[in-house]
Amino acid sequence: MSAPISILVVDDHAIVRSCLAKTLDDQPDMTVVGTAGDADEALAEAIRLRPAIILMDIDMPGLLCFSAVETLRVRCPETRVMFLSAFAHDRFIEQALAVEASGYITKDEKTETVLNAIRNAVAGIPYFSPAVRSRIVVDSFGAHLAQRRQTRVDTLTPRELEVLRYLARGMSKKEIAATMVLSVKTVEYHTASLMNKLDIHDRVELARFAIREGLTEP
Amino acid sequence: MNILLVASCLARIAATMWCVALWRSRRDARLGLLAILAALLALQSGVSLVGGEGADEATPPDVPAVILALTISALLLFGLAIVGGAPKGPEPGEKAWLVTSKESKALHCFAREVGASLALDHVVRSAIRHVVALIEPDLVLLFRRKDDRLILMGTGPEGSRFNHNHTPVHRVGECLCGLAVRDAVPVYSRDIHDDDRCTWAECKEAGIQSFAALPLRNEGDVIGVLGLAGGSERDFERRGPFLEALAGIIAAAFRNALHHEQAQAGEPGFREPNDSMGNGVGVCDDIAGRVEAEQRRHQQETLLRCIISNIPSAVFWKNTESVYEGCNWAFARAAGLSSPDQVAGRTDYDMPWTHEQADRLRNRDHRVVNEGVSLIHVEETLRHADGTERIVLSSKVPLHDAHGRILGVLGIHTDITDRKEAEEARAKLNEQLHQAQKLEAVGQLAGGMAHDFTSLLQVILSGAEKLRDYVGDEAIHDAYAMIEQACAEATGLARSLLTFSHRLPVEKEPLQLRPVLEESIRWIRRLLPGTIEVTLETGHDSVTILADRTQVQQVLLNLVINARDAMPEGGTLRFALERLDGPLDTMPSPAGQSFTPWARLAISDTGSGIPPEVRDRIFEPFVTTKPRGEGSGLGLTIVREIIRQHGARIEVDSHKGEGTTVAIHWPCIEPETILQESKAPSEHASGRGELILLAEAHRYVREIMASTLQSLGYFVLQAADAAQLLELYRTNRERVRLLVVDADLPRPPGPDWLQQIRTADPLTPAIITTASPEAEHDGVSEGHTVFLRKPFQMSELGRLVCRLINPRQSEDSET
Repeated sequence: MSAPISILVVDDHAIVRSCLAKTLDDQPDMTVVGTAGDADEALAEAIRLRPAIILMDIDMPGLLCFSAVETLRVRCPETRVMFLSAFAHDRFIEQALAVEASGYITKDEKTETVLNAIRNAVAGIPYFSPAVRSRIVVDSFGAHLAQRRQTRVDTLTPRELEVLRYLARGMSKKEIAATMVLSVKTVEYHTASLMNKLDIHDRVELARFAIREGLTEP
Repeated sequence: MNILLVASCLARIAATMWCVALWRSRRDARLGLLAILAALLALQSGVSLVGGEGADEATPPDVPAVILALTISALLLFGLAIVGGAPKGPEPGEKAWLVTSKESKALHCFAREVGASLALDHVVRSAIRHVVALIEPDLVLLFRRKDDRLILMGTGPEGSRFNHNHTPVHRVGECLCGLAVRDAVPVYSRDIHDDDRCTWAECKEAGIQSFAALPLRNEGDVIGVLGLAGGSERDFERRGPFLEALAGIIAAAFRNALHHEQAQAGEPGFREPNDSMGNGVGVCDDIAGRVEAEQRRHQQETLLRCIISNIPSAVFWKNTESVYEGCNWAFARAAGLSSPDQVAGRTDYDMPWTHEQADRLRNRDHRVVNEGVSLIHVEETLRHADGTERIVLSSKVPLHDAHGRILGVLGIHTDITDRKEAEEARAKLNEQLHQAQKLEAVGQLAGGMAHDFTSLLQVILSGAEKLRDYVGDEAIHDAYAMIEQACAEATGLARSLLTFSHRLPVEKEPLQLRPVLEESIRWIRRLLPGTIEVTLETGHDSVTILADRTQVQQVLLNLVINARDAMPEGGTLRFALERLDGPLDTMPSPAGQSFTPWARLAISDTGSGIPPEVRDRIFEPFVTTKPRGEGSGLGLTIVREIIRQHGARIEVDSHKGEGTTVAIHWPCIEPETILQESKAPSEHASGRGELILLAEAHRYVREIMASTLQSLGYFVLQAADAAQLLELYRTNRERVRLLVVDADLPRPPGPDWLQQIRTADPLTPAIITTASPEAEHDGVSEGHTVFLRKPFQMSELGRLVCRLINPRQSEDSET
C-alpha cells in the first residue's frame, strides 16, 4: 500500500480548517500533516513539512496566497497546490492558472468531489470545478482564462497589483514592505505609480475599487 | 350868411386837420403847434360867422359864453382831427416798426416753447402748433432731411382740409420744398398752379394755391424744410424775414433734438452742440447751454435707468406711506404688471403677494421710515404673479432728501429660490450619497457574511454527509436530504447576496420561468404578513428565458417588497405568467435579436397605488414614497437595470387607491437555443470509462485537458511527446477509443508518427489540436480525424469528444 497523501490545509476560518482537516484525515489514503491560518504560515509549514498537496483558501489575511504559491513552486516543486474558494472570480482563476494550480475547487462542491480531486491531483490530473473549467481556454502558450474584460487593472504590473491588494486590505506601507520584503520607499513608489495609473488618490476609494474588481474580499 | 366867411372857416378847419394828421404821422411838436394855430384860426372864422348874424338882429352876444363854446369847439375839432382825421394809408415805417415789435415777441415765445424739450417729437409738434398760430397758414409741413430724401415729420393744423395724403418722402431738388433744400434759399409761390417749379400733383389736387418752402439751415447744412401752404393766393414772401427767422429757430431746435436722438442711440459722429448755431437767432445760445446740461443730466439718468433696468433684482421705491412710486421691469414682472409705470399709486395689498406677506413688507417699510434704519438681506417669501412662491432676499434703505428728511423707502428683492433649491438639492444629494455609501457598506458586509456563511454551510453539509455515511439508518438519510436541501437553499440565498454586492458575475442561463417563479414564491411568502394573499396564475406553455436566476429572483423580491409596503392593511398579491407568441406592437424585439415570443410576468397588488407625482420618476434612483429610513429608493432602479441587461421591458400601471400592476416582458428563447446553451461540459458526463489517449507537450495544458475529459467520465492516458504517444498507443491499441493529439507535438526522427497511427488504424477517431491557421475547419472531419484549432475552450473539447465517441448519444441530445 502506497503512503497516504500528505496534505497541508490552509484556511483563515479555524472551524472550516479543522472540519476540513478532520474529513481529509479520516480518509485512509490521506493524512493531514499540518494546518495554517494564512499564506505566510502556509509557506513556512510547506517548506518544513513538504506535503504532497496544499489545499488552500484564496482570500486570507497577510501574504497573498498566489505570492506564496509562486515561492512554493521554487522551494517545493514537488508540492501541488489546490485552491479552495467560495468564489470563482475571473482574477482568481487567472492567477490560479498562472501558478499552474492543481485545482480550483469552489466550496459548493461535494466532499467526495474534493477528495477525488485530491487523489487525481497527486496523479497529475488537476481538478477545476465546472464554473471554473468552463472559463478555461487552451492555446499554444498554455491555459488561460477565456474572454476576461479589460479594465484599468490590466495596466498595473504584477508588483503594483500585489501592492494594491495589500492596500485594499488596509495594510500600512510599512506592513506591506515587511510582507513583500521590500523597502518602504519601493512600496511608496509602487503605490504612487498604481494610483496614477488608476487615477485614484484616496486609499478608501482604492479599497472600494479593489473590492469591485474582485481583487480582494471586503 | 356870408359865403366867403363860411368857405374861409371850412378851409381853416381843413388846414387844422391836415396839420393834426401830419403831426400824428411825424410826431413833430412844431406840427402840433401849427395844428393848434390852424384850429384857432378856424375858431376865429366860426366866431366871426356867428357874431355877424347876431349883429344883424341888434342883440349883443354873451362874449364869455361864446369864447367857451368856441374853445370847446376848437378842442373838439382838434380831437376829431387827431382821432378821425388820420390819413387813410399807414406810414410804411410805422407799420414795419409795429410788425417787428410783435413778431420779435412771438419769435421769443416760439424759441422758448420749441426749445423746452430735446425730444424730436416735441420739437416737431411744438413748431407746427406755433407756426399755425403765428402765420395761420392752411397747411404746415415739416420735413427732415436724410441724405437726398426729405422725410415728413409732421403736419398741421389738425383737420386741415388741405392735409391730403402726402407722400411721406420727397426728394431734394424736386418740387418747391426740394428746391429750397437744394439751394438753401426760401422758395415762395403765390400760385403753384402757374408755377413750373411745383411738380407734385397731389398738392395741386388738394386745392393748395400759395406755398412757401423755408429751408432749415444749420451751420451751412440744410437739415430740413418748413412748408407753408395757403388755400388762397397768399403772399408769404411779404413776411419773408419773419418766416426765415422762424425757420432758423426751428432749425436750431431741430438740430438739438437730432443731436439728442443720436446721443441716445449712441450713434457715432455725434457732435456736441457749439455756439455757431447760425441763422443769427440769439436764443440758440441759451438752448446750447441748456442742451449741454440736459444731455449731462440725461446721460446720468440713462446710466441710472440702465442699472435699474438691468440689475438682476427687483428694484422699487415707495413713499413714506408705503405707496409704490416706481419700480424696474424685474419688479413689474414679478408683480404681474405690464409695465413699471403701473406700479405708481399701488400698495402691497394690490400686489399678488398674500395678505400676510403684504403685512410683513409694510411693517418693515414702517421700520425703515420711522427709525431710519436699513434692513439688509432679510429673507422673505413672496407669491409672484405666476402663482409661484419665491424666496427673496429683501433689502430696504431709507431715501433722504437734501436736508436729510426721509422721503420714502428704496428696496431691492433678489430672488434666491433657485439657489435655495440648489442648496437643498445638494444637501439631499449628500444625504443620498451618504445613504448609498451606507448601502454599499451594508452590501459589502452582507457579501462578507455570505462568504463566511457559505463556508459554514460547507461544514454543516460535510458533517451531515459523514453522519449519513456513518449511520445507515433510513431516517438519517431523510434528515440528510433535508439538510442538503436547506443548505442548497441557503447557498442560493448567499449567492443572491454575493451577486447583489457585485461579487459574483452575472451568469445568464436558459431558465424555465415557471419553476423559478414557483420556487421564488415559496420563500417570498415568508416576507409577507398573513393578511396578504398570494395567487399564482400560470399557463401550461413552456416559458424559457435566457437570464441570471439570481437576478430574476432579485427583480421579484424588489417588486414584492414594494407591493407588500403598498398594502399595510393586507390585500392580494397576484402573479400571472403567460406566453405571448405574437410580436408585441409596442415592444419591438431588441435590435439584432430574433426573439418573437415574449413571456409576460405581471405582479399586481391591491394597494394604495403610486402617487401621480412620482409615477414618471419611480425608476430614478433615490425616489421613494416610503417614509424616511424605510426605503432606499434604489429597488426599482435595480429592477430596471436588471431588466435592461436582459433585453426585457417593464411597464407599470397604477391607479391611486386601486393598486399597481408591474408587467415584465421577457424575450423567450427557442428550444434549439436552449439545447445549444445547455451544452455545458458538465452535461456531457457521457463517458463510461472509454480510453482516450491524450498527447500534448505542455504539461499543465495536458493535465487540464485530461482533467476535463476525466470529469466527463473518460479514462485518459497522457503523453508528453510523440514517442510516448506511440508507446502508449501500441500498448493500449485495442482499448483506445479516441486520440487527442497536439499537431505541434515534438516530432521524433523517422516516419511521420501520426501517419503511422492513422495508417495502422484509420477507424479510430482522432482530434488534432493545432494553433496553425492552415487547419481550415474546426470540428470538420477528414475521415475520422477532426481538427480543433487553438485556442479552444474545454466545453468545445468536451462536445467534440462526446460527438466522436458517442455519435448516437450526441445526435440524440442535439435533436
